[in-house]
Parts: sequence; structure tokens; C-alpha cells
Amino acid sequence: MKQLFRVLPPLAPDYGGACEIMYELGGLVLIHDATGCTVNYVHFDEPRYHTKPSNVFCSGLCEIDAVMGNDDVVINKAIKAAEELKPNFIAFVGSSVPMVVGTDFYGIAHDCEAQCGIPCFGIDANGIRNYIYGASVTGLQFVKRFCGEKTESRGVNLLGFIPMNYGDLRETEIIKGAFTDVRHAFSYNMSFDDLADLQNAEGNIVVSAAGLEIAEYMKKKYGMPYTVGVPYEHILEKIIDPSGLKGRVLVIGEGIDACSMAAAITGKYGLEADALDVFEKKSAAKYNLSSEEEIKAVAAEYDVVVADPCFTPLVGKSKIIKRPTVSVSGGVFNT
Amino acid sequence: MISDNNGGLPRYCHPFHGDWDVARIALDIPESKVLFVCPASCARIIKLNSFLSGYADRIYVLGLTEADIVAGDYEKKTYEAACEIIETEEIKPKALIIYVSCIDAMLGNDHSFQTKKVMEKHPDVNCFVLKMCPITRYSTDLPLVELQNDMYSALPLEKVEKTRTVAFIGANIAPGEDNEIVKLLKANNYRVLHIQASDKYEDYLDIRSSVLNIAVMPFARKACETLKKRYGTEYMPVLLRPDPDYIDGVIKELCSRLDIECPDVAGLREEALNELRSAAKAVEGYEIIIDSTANMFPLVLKEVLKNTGFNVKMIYRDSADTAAPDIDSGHITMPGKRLFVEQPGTLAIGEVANCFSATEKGIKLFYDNGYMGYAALKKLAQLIKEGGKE
Repeated sequence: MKQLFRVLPPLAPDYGGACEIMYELGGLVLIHDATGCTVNYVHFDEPRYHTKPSNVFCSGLCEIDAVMGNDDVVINKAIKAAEELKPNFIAFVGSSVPMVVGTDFYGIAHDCEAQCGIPCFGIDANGIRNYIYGASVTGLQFVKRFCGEKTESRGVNLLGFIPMNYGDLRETEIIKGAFTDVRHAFSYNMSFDDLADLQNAEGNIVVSAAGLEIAEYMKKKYGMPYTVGVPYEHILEKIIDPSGLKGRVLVIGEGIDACSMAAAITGKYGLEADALDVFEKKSAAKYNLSSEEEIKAVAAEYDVVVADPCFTPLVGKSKIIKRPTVSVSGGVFNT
Repeated sequence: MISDNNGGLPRYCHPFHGDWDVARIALDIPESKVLFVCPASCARIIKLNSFLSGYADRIYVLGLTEADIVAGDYEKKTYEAACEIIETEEIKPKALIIYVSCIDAMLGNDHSFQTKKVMEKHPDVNCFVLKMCPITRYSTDLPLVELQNDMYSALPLEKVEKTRTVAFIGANIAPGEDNEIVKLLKANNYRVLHIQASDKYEDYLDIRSSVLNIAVMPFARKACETLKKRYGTEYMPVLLRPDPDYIDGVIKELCSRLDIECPDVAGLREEALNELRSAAKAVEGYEIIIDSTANMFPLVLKEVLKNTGFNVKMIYRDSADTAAPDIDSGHITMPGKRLFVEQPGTLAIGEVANCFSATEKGIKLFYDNGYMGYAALKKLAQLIKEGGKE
């Protein structure tokens, strides 16, 4: 049964991706849920929770408010918290219950902004899509709202750059360090003011699918060219133990990241390497699969699989080179 | 109409729940497996917790799509997934728990049709539904109350012969052999039954045979009421209240109910308090911060610690109401109030206090980790000493 997961954890959801991209931007973020979704996010999907504060809250949605459509409750809570926090913006992020009752997040954001004058956003996350969607639609809204006129062309932006793509903050730093002349990494170590400067880079580099739509938009609006990929050939040994690489290699993960690593393995070690994207149904990866049965069948064709430790039971006799990622295993395999 | 006002503010959430979640509690039922039927994200925390605590092979997730939810398709899929687990897994479960989430509460689904069908096909498997629905916390009993009640309501209705058994209901962790109540019961030839300590499904069924149930947490009271109605089993609360007078009273009441000789309560009390006094000396000069995830009665614990020589500075009232005029009552509603720079000379009892106050030392304790009575005070003393040495 394709939808039944015996081994793999559910992947990081859209509301997690949305919150990740906003974490450092000084906003007030409300996940509209009863608590479970927010705890999911702060527990496993946000590596920065323990190192820096951010105004990410649970709206405390309850049954009666959901059924009766009492959207005023969440709006009033946001305004009250904003009075104390003075946020740069307010974002209302969806989850599964609002999806069921058809909550209009754009309407809520519009009403809230009309009442308090602070820029407000509605993110129609539902807990069914993955983090790529959440980070992408949120990032795009911010770029559309805050990027102004282009006044110069210098440096590059990294788009779709969020810690959730990687194993931990140490690895995030290593990967950021592999790029040169970085103007902004959207969104890691980036401020709210930096948002209004994204258009002043010479071009964009998309490091995960979360950045693709933003790159397309900036290309159309500002004529900014973009490329796709992560230069793993310079840092591969810092991310995985390459000593076990041999024969045919399969890299499992997010599409752009996995393709980049596969290309680096081929370029550096002369091995045949392919990518399997577990997040998106369509990408540059050779395979786009999410069912355990299908992943197992494909993995069996390879000598070595580079993947999160969660995939171990699915690789059969192939050798696994473990590369934990927050978007899959939420940091539980980090030492 | 009850609406969540919570002082008009949104909630600042923390991830510190002692690695416990609703699935781990339900999996205390021996030889059981759990199938989550929900939007996949709802079960992410469950599966990841299961990796941390070593029971991932007992957790399955049927990740629903929007189409499943809108069309109601997942009723059939739930049945198919349940049968697939029972029929294909190497270790066949004796109980298969179908866990549903908030959306089922919203949609008003009744999965008893599927569970009945599963049991018709597999009569040797007890298949039942549990709910992970925090959305209903103001419309029904608290989720943990419902969980305990539903866990024990899934026992077969048939009454069985009573045996010399006392069952503990509601604690996540079975009380240790060093617990004075356990010792007392065993010394009087009672079987002490806690399903968490067992790997046999039959022990879960044996709950029906107990002559007395001990409700270890307030959450368990409703479950004990259900067991009383169904099987005629009396119950008494033995809460994790660290007050020596309360503990004395519990031991005396237990002896009275079972008509057994009461032990030297004063001796036990003095021994536990001496341990605490010794721990206080070990962390002399340290400011103690307690949070209500470590013990459900932080004000009582504060008094006990103060009386044994500790310097208690603050209580985090995560869920408890601690109107204490003589003490700072922390309640982190705004992330900016969190401290990130380590505070020398501070010791936290509980992970929330440890994280939010950035204490120098911390004791990982969640609802006393199941310790109760004087054994809990002695264990706390030991942990404080060990924490003080870190």
C-alpha cells in the first residue's frame, strides 16, 4: 500500500517550511492549530529553536472556534501580542484543521492588516504538503511585498537556503561557506531589512526547490539570472564519509541537493551517481518517489546509497552512507 | 460557548515533554502496534520520538491526502492498511490501535465500523481507536483523560475472577521495586501490575482481575471509574504529590483498604527527608527553579524543598496555577523572556525551567518519571546530587 509508511517518518511539512523561512525576520508567526503542529515544528524542524529566540507561536485553535469560524479570536490574539512585540510583520500559517473547515488565511491577513496596520501574510499550509511548498509560497509572498527597485548588481543570493535542508547548523554553515560572494542567504542569518535588498544581487543560486519559484519571479521582475545547485565537489568530505563510495551510487533527499551531490560524486570520483527526490513529484532527479516499496526497489539497483539514516531498512544489501537531514529525521540521528 | 482565550495571547510552545507522546503511552499495552491515520505531519513527532525511544517498529502511518479527506476515501484505506499490518508483519500484534487526529474530531468520524471489520477478519487481534485530538481539549475531557479511559475501555467486557492483584493506572512508567508501596504490596503477597513493566498482552487483560486500582495521575480517574463500573474494581488515588503528610495518609489508607499491617511510616519519612537535606547541602548556594512538567504539584514541592534546606527561586507554571506571593512565578508567554546565556549557580528541576532559564545544571524529570511516595523524594534527592556534580 503506497500511502502506508512502516519505516520512514512523515517528512517535514509545509507549515514547518513556512516558519523556517520566517524564523529570523523579526515577525510574529502564528501557526493556526491546537498545539500539536507547533510542537512538531519547535521540537524537530527548527534547529535554531535552542540558539536564538523567534516569535513563533501556536494560535491555540479550539474546536468551537474552528467550527464557528471565529477568526476574530486569532486576529485579536495576534494584535495583542503585536502590541508587545512590535513585529515587522504578522504571518498566519495554516495546518490540517483549518484546511478541513476551509479557513481563508488571505482574508484573515487582510482583516488583521486593516486593523493594526502591520504587514500581514496568510500561508495556506495544511500539513499534507511538504516543507518545500511552505517555504516557497512564503518566500515568494515576502519577495513580492518587500523587494523594491533594483539599485545595484553585486553578489549572489542563495534561494531556498534554510537549515531544514541539512543535518544541523554546523552543516548549514559549511554549505553556505562553499559559495563565494554571497549577498544574502534566504533565509539564514538574514534580517528583515535584507529582504528589501534581495533584488540588488547580480543573480540567484537556487539551492533547494523552495527557491525555484522565487528565482523565476526575480528573473521576470528584475532580469536576475539564476543557476541551480550546491557545489558539493568542494565540501563533500565535510558532509559525508566518501571512503565507502564505489560502483553505482544513489543519493536520496531533496531534488536539487541530491542532484548536486550526485554530480559531485561523479565529477570527483568518476562513479555513476543518480538522485532520488523524495519531496517533489517532478524535478531534475532521475527518480521522484515517496512510497517505501518503490524506494526499496530502486535502492536495490545501486551499490551505495547516500541517505538519511531513516532509509537504512529500505536499502537492503546496498551499503548506506548516512547523511542525516532535518527535513527527514528532524535531527534525531545527530550526535 | 468556550473559546480559547488564554489571556488573549497566543501560546509560546516548548518541545519538552520528557520524550512522551500519546503513542508511547498507548504502547504501554504489551504486544500492541499503532497505526496513525491522519495528515502525515500529525504523526511526524510520533515517529521521530519512536526513533529516540526505540519503538519505531511499532508505529505505522497512513498518510492521508486532501482527496482522501474530502472524499472520505480513507475509511476503506484504514481497513486495508490495518489488515496489511496484521497479515504481513513478522510479529503479529495482539492489539492494533488506530490513532486518529484532530481532523477526525472535526469531521465527526466513527471508525468503529472499520475496527469491527478488522476484528471479524482477525478475531485474535483487539483493534480499537484512540484519539490524538488536542483541538477538543475544551469540548471534552482533557486528551490525556480520554486517552487513559479509551485505553482501558478497550479491554474485553467479560468479567474475570478477582485475584490478589493491585494495578497501577495512569503513570507512564511503572513504579520501581524500591518503591515503598510496591514493597508493601509484595510483602503482603499482592501481585503488583503495571502494563508498562510487562511484555505480555495477557497482563493487560489481567487488569480486569485486580482487587484495587491505584490512580497514579489525576488523568487516570475516569479510566478507574470505567474499570469500577465494568469490573467492580475499587480505586484510590495515589498522586505524585510530594507532601510527606499526604504520602503518610496514602500508605495508611492503602493498608486500611487491603487490611494489611501498616509499616513504620515515620521511619520512611525521615529517611526520605534526610536524603533531601543531604542533597540540599550538595547544592548549597544554588538557586532552584522548578517547573510543573517535572512535578504536577510544584508549589508543594517548593515547600518540601524549602523545608529541607533548598533555596527555591522560581516556579514555571506551564500548566499549574501557582499563585505564590513569596516566589517568582515564571510563565514564558513571550520568547524574548527566555534566557540564552547560562546562569551560574542555578539548578532546574524539569526541562522547561532548564531551557527557558538557561540554568547551569538541570534535572530531566517529567511527571516524576513515575516515581511516587517517599521513593520519589529519595530519587529526586539522588538526581539533585548527580545534577550538582555535572
